[in-house]
Amino acid sequence: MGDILQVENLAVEVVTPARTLRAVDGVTFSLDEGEVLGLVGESGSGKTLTCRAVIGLLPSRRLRIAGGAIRLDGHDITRLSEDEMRGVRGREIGMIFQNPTSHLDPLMTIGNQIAESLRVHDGLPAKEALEQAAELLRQVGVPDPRTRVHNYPHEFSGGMRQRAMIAAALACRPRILIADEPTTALDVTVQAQILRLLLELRDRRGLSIILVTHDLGVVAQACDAIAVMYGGQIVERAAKAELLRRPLHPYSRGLIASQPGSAEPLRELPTIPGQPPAIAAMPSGCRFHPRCSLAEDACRHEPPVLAAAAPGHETACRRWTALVEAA
Amino acid sequence: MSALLEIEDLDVHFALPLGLSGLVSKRLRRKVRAVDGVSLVLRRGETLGLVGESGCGKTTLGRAALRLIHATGGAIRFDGEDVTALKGERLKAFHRRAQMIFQEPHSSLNPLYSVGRTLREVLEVHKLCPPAEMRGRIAELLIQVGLQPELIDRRPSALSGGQCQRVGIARALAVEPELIVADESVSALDVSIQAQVLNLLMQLQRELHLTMMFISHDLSVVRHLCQRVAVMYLGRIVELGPTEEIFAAPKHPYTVSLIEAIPRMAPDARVGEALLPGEPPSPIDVPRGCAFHPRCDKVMGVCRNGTPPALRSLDAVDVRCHLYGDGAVAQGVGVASPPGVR
Repeated sequence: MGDILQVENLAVEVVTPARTLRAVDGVTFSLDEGEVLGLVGESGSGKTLTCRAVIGLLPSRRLRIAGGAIRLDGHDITRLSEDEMRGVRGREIGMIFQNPTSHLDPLMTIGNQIAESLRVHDGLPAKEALEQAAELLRQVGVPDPRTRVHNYPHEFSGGMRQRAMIAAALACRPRILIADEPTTALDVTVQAQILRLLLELRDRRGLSIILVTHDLGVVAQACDAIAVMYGGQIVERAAKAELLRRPLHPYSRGLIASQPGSAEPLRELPTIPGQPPAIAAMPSGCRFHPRCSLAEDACRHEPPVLAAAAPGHETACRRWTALVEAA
Repeated sequence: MSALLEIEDLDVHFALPLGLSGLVSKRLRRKVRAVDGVSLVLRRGETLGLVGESGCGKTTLGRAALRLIHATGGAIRFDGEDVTALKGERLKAFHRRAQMIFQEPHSSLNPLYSVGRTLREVLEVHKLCPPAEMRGRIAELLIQVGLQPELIDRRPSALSGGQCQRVGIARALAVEPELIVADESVSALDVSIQAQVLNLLMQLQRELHLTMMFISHDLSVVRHLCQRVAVMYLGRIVELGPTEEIFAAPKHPYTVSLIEAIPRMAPDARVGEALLPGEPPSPIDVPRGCAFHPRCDKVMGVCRNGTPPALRSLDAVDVRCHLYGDGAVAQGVGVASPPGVR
């Protein structure tokens, strides 16, 4: 097994008439074959933009990749033309979103939406493509798929729509699936079903998955490795159990401690003071320093570097030893 | 502890638009039974959690309890007084004592109103503050919810989600209520902000001796915040009891699966094995017998075609399930289970 995807020093900029802002700044990570990588962060942390950059679908013309490389099997895909990129999407990398309703065409049957990519990418005739679509729906656990291909999105429940979107994303057998908050809009019971489905697909197809979420519980259940993002940067990266057991960045530690599930009921929860920074007002030095109790002068002025603190465990906190001692 | 809010056999039924069959026969007119025969007591000073999947009627129940939507049956008593049919000034007097915090922090505030105007409106409507003292009182409210008084002239668009939610809380607190219904009040917030707002709610409850109904789909939040929990499924309460007991030994198969589905944050966590199949059915077509039976792994004959189970007391916990329908004393609404069923 080797790295199927390497993201190196990725930068995404927002270009406004007045100025240019960096929304993603120097993000580096790799995805192993068959690995589930959790990309964790709060709103505005850059996790969604990172994924959108990887699949070449930045949601606005004002956004652009400003630097770095995204290597698929060693080839930098940031240099591909839009035509070539269209081949990569679907065939190599698929993506599913938080809100299936807004990513499915309400005027097109579920079957035709899945079949469309089969016709375009694989050149299948319409009838065969529709049969394939039914087979895909069966694989993602939609009951009675031969009838359901003729349904429209509004005839599907929330969980079933998410399954349909997964089927559409997997139609052309991509090797990487990017799942952006795929369970956030779902009930806990349905969330568990969808997570299990993703893990089954990983096992059955050897799919590699980037799972974007703000929910540490989801990460704990489903991921092999975790990258924590804050203010457009990765601040910590490690294997799941290692990071949850021994977080080496004050932000990750604060996030874990502030979960209601991990504290004594009715007691005050440990919190991180303040709020996440806005893109337009990124603090200097370490972007977390205004909210950090360990911050010292260097943290305020010098940007930190993501570096190994232990084998396979990287942190961007220069004071991580103090953090370990404080615990 | 005495009861502050008593909900008795409450129904909220919505009529669906008339279909062809509805024109032909009155019997075929379809109804959504969003809340169906719910009885619930909130004791003074407690926080009661109301949990369930989307569409189970928890929000409708919360709103009906505060008379924000009309109940089609049953009664609501607040501090001993029947408030079910209050109108005009007397309804306003009730709302001076019972308030709501809404789910979406941004959309529950008027985007054109500054923070100060939003709060001033409440104080003016209820005639709670002389104009001369208005600014001071608003500043006081902002401080109470942990906001800087300088935010008074900002509009919601210039505030973060957490700040908006605090303004929503301040708006509810402005009348110095005794009861607060908080509907998914932290669900839309980022993780690090969610903990801050939860702490604020707990602190306010302690200091102001508030009684709170906390509606949420997030069971770990409810476990942290609430002394008692009510679990709803398709418009009915299926289990009700002290939080500790419900989480330690859930009785209703639905509660069991809900608790199992909570994503645990342990380093060795896995996706649960015993997953609840399917999704909640629509409240338009509630299954016969026990509404939960199509998804239940302990389903018996009586669940499929019998009457819906009654709410029964087992020690401190009330549960509505045929598994426990043996010899226990029936309580509240519903009928006794058919004879000969164990």
